[in-house]
Amino acid sequence: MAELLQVKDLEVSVEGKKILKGINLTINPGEIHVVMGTNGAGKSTLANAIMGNPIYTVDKGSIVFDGNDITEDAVNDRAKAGIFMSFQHPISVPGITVENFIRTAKSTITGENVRALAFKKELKAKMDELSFDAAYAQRYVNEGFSGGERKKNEILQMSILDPKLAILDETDSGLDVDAVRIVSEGVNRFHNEKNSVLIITHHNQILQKLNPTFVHVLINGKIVKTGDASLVKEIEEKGYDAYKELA
Amino acid sequence: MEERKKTQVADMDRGVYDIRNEFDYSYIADTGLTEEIIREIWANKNEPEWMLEFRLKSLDIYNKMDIPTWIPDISGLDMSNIVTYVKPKVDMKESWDEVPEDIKSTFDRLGIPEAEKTSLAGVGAQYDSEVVYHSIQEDLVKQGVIYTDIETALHEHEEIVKKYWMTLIPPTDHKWAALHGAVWSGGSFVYVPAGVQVDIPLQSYFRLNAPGAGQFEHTMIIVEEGAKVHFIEGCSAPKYDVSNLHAGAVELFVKDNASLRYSTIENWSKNMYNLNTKRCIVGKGGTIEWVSGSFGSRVACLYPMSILNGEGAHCEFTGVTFAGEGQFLDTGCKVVHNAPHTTSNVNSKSISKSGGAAIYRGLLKMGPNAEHAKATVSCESLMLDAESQSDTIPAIIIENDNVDIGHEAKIGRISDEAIFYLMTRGISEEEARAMLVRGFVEPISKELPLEYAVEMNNLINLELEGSIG
Amino acid sequence: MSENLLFNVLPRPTFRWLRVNHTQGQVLGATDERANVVINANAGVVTPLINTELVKATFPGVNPTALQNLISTGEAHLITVPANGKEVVIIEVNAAKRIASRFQFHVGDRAELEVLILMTGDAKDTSVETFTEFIIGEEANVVVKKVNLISEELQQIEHRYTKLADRANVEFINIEIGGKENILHFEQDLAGEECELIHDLAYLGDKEQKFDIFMLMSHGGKKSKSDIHTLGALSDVSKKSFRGTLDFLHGATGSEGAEEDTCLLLDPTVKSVSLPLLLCKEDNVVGNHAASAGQLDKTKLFYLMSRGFSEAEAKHIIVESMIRPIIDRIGNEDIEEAALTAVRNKI
Repeated sequence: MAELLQVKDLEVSVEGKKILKGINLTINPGEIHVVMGTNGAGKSTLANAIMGNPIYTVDKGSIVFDGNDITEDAVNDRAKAGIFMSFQHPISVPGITVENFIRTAKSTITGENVRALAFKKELKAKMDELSFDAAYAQRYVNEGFSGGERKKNEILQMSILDPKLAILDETDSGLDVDAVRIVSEGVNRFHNEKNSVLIITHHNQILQKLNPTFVHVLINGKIVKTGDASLVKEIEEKGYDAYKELA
Repeated sequence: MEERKKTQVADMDRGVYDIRNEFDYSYIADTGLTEEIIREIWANKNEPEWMLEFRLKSLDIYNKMDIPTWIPDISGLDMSNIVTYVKPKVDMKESWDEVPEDIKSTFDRLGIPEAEKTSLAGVGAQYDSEVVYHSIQEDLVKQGVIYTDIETALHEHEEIVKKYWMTLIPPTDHKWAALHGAVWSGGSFVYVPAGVQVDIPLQSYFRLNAPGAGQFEHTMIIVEEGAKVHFIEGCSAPKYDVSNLHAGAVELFVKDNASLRYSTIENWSKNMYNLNTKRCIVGKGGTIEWVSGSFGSRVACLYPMSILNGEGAHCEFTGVTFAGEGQFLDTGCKVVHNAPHTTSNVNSKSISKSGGAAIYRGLLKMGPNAEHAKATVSCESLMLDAESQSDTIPAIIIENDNVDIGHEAKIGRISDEAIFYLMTRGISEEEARAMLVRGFVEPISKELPLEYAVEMNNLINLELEGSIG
Repeated sequence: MSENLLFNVLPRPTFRWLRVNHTQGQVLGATDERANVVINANAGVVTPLINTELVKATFPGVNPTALQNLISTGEAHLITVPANGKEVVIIEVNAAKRIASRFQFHVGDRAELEVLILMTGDAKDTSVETFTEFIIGEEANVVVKKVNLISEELQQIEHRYTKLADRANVEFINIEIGGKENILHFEQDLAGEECELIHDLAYLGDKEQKFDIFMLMSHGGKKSKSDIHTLGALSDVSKKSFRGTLDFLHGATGSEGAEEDTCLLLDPTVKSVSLPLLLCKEDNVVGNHAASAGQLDKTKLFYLMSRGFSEAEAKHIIVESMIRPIIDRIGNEDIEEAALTAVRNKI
């Protein structure tokens, strides 16, 4: 089976400061990868670099997605190719309703005119699954939403846009136990043998409901250790300090 | 990256707005302004004697008054070159079929009768200086609602018109009010008797067709106690090389516990000098709601004013101004609180691009009697490039301690963060910008009737096309 | 000079009938015999000002005629802080007679200057007029604290012009309590990149006092920042006019400006005029302004009264607590105490 994502020797800097110092990461269809690490290790930088945030400069290396080198591609082209990122801090977009926003995105990504009525139904169903009040469909994107509602909105977009690769950047941070459960259930419903998930976190709570194929420890811009799900437990016991010397 | 369109706004296809009609005019006044012209207009329109006196008095005031020091540059406007009165060779019709083909096709293209068929209680259409078409639903007539052109009202309801005529906007108010008093022509008259609720909107459409013409329509709306009405005004003109002038006057009288909503989408051509005056006086417990979109004109000076004279009167103002290349749109809103427990909310948004200037100029005044009055003002300006200009010039005057006011303004551009977020969802940069601009004006477009909201979105799309890169 | 002058003319005029585009008035006692100020500073810092040209030739001050009159009739001092220097200057203004004093400050690169201006005095029907100019070098730090405790039978006029070079830092603090009529004009050229200005002005008006405040922040330098806040309370028939203008010039990319005018209204007979202008010719800027006016916060009043304070006492506490944070920044206990006493005597 061909790789879905291949990150090769990736070096990334922000405002002249080197954050990622040579990352190699391969994700195959059907896999769930987890990147764990301390604050400032470069986890969010990795997510943003794969998504193509222009604030992050790729100094070296490449990102290959679905057989194409996307290192230079515009953000929206990556989204069209099938990459989705759930933001750590989703911004609010005044004046645009959740429904209108997701429908426009869906139309753009699929290149087809998404029919209003069918879309309404789908949206309602997905919102119910996430215990997300359907009235929010008519509210402006994230405007006045709580932290949990913003994250639910991200997972809602993921489930409707149906990407090949979903990157969850600290989606669990700042959420209470119930919200984490709802979010991880949403990820489970989304995930199948054809798509992949990259979870970025420094908690293990979200991982209790998910079954990661690989776990990577990111310290100081480098992946210092990769293992299976049991690595989560090891980190829990040893703490990150134990890995710092590996960096 | 795909190659982007470099559309120049000046050459923008304004579609139907720019289609001009060859037309046979029955009477064209001399250019410039003299007592003889005023007398001719008066005689031609067969008006009562007091109106001639009023017109001449206004002309006298006009000649004596200076141009306000604070307004934008209007040196491109040559008053001696403005044909003040142009009368199309038709009389007013009550059946759309009788309106001459040329005029009809213009309005058809603008979707006017179409709108009437679907969602309007009454429609008036003004072509240059004269109203060419008016209709109103019969059940409203039975309830005593009057909706007609102001000339007809002057003959058939002279006492009402005379009682209110330019009492809110006296000719002494400013130079253009004086000019209006001298040469006014056309406009709508609405009278809603006490307690009558007009549930569907009345609409008026103004179009300036003749080159170098001035439009000085007078709109008078009287909403008696406990009555309610929604009035929509649309304006457009094709583009000629000669500058046009619009100096209309809108006088609105909202009585106790009455309610009026006044919506405007103004899309004059970009050589129009829009020096319009709108004013409303609100009685006890009454409400005035303004919804205002300004897109056209070269220069605009437009500040609808609400005088809250009765206890508990309320004003709601929602406005958007979009200034593109070569435009200087100085717009805003004035609210004067003259009675206890009066409230007002002002929400203004402006966009400027390609060297255009969008100015918010406002007034919030709390008089000595406005105890327990409350007011909020919010102004937001969006700059789409560094060539444009966006100024906020508010005045807040408080003469009483028992008030609660808040004023906020911010200026800025579309954030890169927001564009990135939308792009991660597959939306292109151009679309993302357009969506964010539409989102910015959404609080206004949602207040508009559907066809106007669609028109506004189309205008924004036209303006934004090719604006990136 | 008994002619009527236009004070503090708004940079962009608005509706004439409001009569807010300027304030009409006269300079009191412009030809009166005047007293000199006392300047406390290290030796060599203060010298007579020889070149009397304006730092900015077109600076109008409160009014150009008044400014010219001050320049030609008043005393004039030059205060120089060389590069990397560090100085403290204390100016004591005791208005036993008319005051007409000019101070030009040259602050070198990376220098530090602290100026404390204390105004007292009980002359009558004349004016306390000062003109300060600041030329501030790169990365220099300047703090100017002014406390006005003059009698309420004096007119006070201040003209101030400031020019900031790259990364210069300026903090202005004004405590305006005395004076029958205070006409204050502050113009700042934020010409340098990443320069920064903070200006906090507190006033407290009673009886027939007038405060006419003009502030203009011209952002010319990239990433320049300004943050101004006027706050105060008015009682009896006192009046305040605030004309604040944030002007973002073309090219001032990344600049940020904020202006805020907060006014507490304590009597039905007061008048507050606020004109917070925001002018912008650059898209990559952040500009905010806010103006608020109203009565005492009823919840606060209730809270304090529930703790046993009378309504009058509670009002005192609220007004004092509003102005106190600014007074606390003077950094001189005697003056802070004097200012607080003046505040307490008024409310």
